[in-house]
Amino acid sequence: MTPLLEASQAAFHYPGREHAVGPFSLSVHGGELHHIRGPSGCGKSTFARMLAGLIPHLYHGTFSGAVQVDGQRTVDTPLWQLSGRVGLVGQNPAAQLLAATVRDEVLFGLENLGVSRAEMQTRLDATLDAFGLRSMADRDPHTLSGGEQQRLVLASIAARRPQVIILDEAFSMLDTRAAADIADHLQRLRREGTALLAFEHRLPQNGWREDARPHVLARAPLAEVSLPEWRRVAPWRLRVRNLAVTLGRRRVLEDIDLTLAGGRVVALLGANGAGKTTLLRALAGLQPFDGDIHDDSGGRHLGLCFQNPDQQIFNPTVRQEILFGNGGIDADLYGSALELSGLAPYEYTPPLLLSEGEKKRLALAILLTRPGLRGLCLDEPTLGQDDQHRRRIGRVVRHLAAAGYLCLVATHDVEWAAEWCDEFIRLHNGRIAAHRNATALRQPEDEERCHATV
Amino acid sequence: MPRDGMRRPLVVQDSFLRQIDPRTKIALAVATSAAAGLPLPSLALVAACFVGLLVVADVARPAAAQLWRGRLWFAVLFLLDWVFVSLAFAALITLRLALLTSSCILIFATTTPDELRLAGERLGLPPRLAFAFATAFGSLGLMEREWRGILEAQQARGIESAPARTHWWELRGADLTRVAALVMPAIVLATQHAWAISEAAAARGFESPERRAYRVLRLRPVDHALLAATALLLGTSFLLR
Amino acid sequence: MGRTYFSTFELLLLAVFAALVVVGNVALRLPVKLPGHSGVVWMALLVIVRGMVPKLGAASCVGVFSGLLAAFVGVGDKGGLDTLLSYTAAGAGVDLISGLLPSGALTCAVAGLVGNLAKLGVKVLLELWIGIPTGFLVVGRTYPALTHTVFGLAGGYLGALVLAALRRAGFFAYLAARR
Repeated sequence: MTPLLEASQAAFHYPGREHAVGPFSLSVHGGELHHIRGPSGCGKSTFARMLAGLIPHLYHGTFSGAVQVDGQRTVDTPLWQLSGRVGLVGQNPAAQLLAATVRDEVLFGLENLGVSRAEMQTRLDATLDAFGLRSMADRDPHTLSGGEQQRLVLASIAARRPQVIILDEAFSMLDTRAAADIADHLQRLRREGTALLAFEHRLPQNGWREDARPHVLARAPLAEVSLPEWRRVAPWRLRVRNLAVTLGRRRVLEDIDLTLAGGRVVALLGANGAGKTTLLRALAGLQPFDGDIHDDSGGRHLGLCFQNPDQQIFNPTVRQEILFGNGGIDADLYGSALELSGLAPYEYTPPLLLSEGEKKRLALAILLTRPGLRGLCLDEPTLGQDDQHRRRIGRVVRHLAAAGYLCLVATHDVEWAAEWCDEFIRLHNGRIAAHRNATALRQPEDEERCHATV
Repeated sequence: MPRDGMRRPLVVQDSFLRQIDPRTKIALAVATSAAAGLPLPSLALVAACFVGLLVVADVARPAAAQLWRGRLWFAVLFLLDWVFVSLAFAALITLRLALLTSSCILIFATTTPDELRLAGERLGLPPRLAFAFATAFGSLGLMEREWRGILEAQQARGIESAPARTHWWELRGADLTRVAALVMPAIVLATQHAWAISEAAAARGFESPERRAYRVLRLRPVDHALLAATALLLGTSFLLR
Repeated sequence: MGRTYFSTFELLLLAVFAALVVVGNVALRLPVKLPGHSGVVWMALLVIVRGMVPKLGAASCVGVFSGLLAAFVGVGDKGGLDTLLSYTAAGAGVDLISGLLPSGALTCAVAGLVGNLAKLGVKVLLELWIGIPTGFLVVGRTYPALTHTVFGLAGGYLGALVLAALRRAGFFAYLAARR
């Protein structure tokens, strides 16, 4: 039986890069579930794009080997034809929205199929109902939650009835509930014969892990390096009383009372929209609030490591980026920050050419060189990271905590939080629903663990 | 910031013009703008009809708001024309300027960008260009949010969004660096966003030669009537000038 | 399908930049109250996008898109037509000079100057068309013409500096990999 999708020694050489990505081989038949994983930077996204036909049609470079969709080579087939058979769902739902309403979003792909209007209407109705989008058909997709947006993107692709759907870290930005919802819809499509290729570090839990055929895109593992000595800070406490934040007409945070101490790693858990990022911003002094935040070391010494480092990067080299605005920084602190963030090999590299994970570490290095810093707020630092880099982030926060820093980490990654954090705070609808020792997360059946991101 | 932020156009939902084909409204706006070159008696007739249309279509208020924003310019121009030429001339110029200023309110207060995109396609605009326009509008809210994010992220590094200096001669090279620190991330994020949209569109078959639009605009009798009335009024005004 | 003049990515880049121009015009104003001062950021962005998409018509496209956007959200005191034509003229001015002169910082500065003056020129033409006496325009628009010249030059030069910084930061390598 001819595979729906087949890659034979497929490789791609980006212009200006030293090495090609690949070669990769894979064979996919209807209804199969493939789990392709590998360390960050090993070429998962490149391989996903080769299979979807985006490479070489949208990218300059040298393509070698072959990828065939239904027996037709992707290099010889127009992309608009390939996309009718292979769909691609990316990581960031908001970046994949193309239309002004939910209905038009689904119609976008249907219009490009060239089917009759009656057929478009039939598929539109079926898709809106199957994916639970009927009630929000006239809404602006940008007003939906992240999980709803990803469901909409999947629906838009599924309406075209592709034979294969590729998921390029499609779950990584979703909370547990949203990921489970998407996984259920994908399982339904799989039962109808669609093959699924999941390029993910971890799969959702509801039956996926047992069914998937695993593939590992190997790369020589990074040696675990020792972390540099970090300057100790004196013991200190952060007291929060009656904190509340209102954004527009919405009360995002309410009745937040906390006492946190330096030398601790604290996980901030909760579903998307629970208020995690808002709380971090308020504690870092970037968000107006009602109530009181008292730092007994005097002044404000918590810094926020921004989730999107591209909002800060503008210098020609990593070195200049870290040193910008920190003219008085001493060489030791700079060197330690560079080592701690693992960016020493990239000191003179343009920051824009770093990978996403490396950029996040650059954002961390920029923060660590801030004068007077005693604590960090990290917003989803493990997002899209492989196990090796997740472990490194864990080691870094524990290392800083050992030096007396308070590390607050907003995360959906309960497993990571269970391994690396001392305590956790669970937010629900803007209020603290639980504040406990992290040992509660380490029991597989514990209620706290089950509800940690709900 | 403009009122209503940058996420939604200020569309008057109750206006009967919402039911009119956008191409008809474009023609009405063009005709009104062209009429701004008429002499006073014809101009007054066209202006009266235009105001009547605005009132009936429930868009008089946004038109008045538009004119109010330019009130200083209107007042100065009227006074200068009256003092140096004549009252009739002042009235003529002010009325022409008012008509020109408010002519496009027919479109922008009663048409969504998506409807304008459909009209563009119907008028022969390639779907790629039409989609690009829709993307431009859809990106306004995102760019605004990214901009705020950049300001916040750079302020956290000690880069202020506005210099303490308030006179242009006090501006320094450091201010240019500050502008670069804000502009460069914005450019990178805008480019990343454009690329993400390109990939997402390609992944859903964009540029297919077999594309068939779901919605197609068709001129209805009311559109034909409005166009005929406009042509008659304009033609008569130009003949009588 | 035959090759198109602008690739889809380039077209969408121009569209997103148009949104950035409108946002930047409102959000990134210098604290000076002189006519044409918005040209510093506005012309910088036009010069930058023309450098990123080095094809004739790129800045004009941004001008048209941003003019429509600005008209929709109600930017400008003299109505949608004036807004649309001003933004379009600014883009066309930058395009024209960028297409005629060899690339470089001086060309960028001159492009900014011409773009900013073109924006003013549209207003003058509209005012001439409705019959405002030429004498009034000469008296009333001479000083703005001077300030538009200065701010346009500054904006164009700023655009050149940012383009050079983007090049040093590896941004063009990112662009080069994409069709």
